[in-house]
Amino acid sequence: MDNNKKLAENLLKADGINPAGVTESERIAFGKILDRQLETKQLKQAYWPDKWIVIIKNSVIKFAAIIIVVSALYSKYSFLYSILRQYIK
Amino acid sequence: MDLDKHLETIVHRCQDGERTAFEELFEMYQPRLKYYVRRLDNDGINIDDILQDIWLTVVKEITKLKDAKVFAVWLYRIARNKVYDGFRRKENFAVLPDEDEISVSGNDEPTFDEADGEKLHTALNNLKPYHREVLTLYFVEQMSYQSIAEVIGCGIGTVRSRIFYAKQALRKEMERQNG
Repeated sequence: MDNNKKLAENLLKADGINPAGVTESERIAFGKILDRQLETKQLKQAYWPDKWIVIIKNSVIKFAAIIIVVSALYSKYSFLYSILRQYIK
Repeated sequence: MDLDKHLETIVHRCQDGERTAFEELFEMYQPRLKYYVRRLDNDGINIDDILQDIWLTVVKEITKLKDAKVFAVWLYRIARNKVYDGFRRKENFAVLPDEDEISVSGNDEPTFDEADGEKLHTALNNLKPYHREVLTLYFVEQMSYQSIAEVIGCGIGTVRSRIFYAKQALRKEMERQNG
C-alpha cells in the first residue's frame, strides 16, 4: 500500500472512523433513504414510461402541441362566429 | 479493472436505479466523506444529518451527472454546499481570503510520513478552515489540484498556493505540538 493511502487511513483512524466500512446505524439510515427514493422513482417510471418522458420533454413536440391547440381554438371560434353571423342576418 | 473504471461502472448502475450499486458507492465514500464534513464543520453537532442530506441528494440527482468520471468532485461539491448552507443559516459564514498565487518548487513543500497520521490529524484541527479543507481533500481523497479547484470553486493556481501555505502551517503546528 502506498504512503499516501496509508496516511489517509491513519487520519481516518485518528478521527475514530473505520476506513474499511460504515457503521450499522449509517447502513440502516442509508437503506431507508434508498427505500423511499427508489420506490418513488419506480412509481414515476411505471406511470410515465421512459419514451413518453422523452417525448413530452421534447421542446419541438411542445411547440407543435401549442400550435395544434391554438389552431383548433381558432377554427372552433371562427366556425361559431360564422354560424352566429348567419343567425344575426 | 482499475479503480476509475470500476467507479464509472458503479455510477452507471446507480443511474439505472440499481440498489446494490448505491450501497457499494455509499460503502466506498462514506468514511472519507464523513472525515471531510467533520473537518469543515469542526464543532458540528449535526454531522449525521448533513451526511444523510448529502446522500439523499446523491440518490435523487445522480441521473443528472453526465460524466461518471467526475463523481468524486460532484459528491464533494454537494457536501461542501450542504455544510456551507448550514453555516449561512447559523450566520456563521465567512468569505475565504484569496491567497497570492506563488510559484512553488517541489523542494519547498513539506512532506508528511504515513506514521504522522495521529499528529497530523490533531494539527489539522488547529489550522484555519480553508487550509484544513484543501489538505483534507489532498490527503484523504488524494484529489488532484484540478479536482480540488473544481470542488472549492476557484482557480488551480489558488489551490496550489493554498496547499503550499497549508502544508507549511501544518508543519509549524506539528512542531509546536512536539515542543
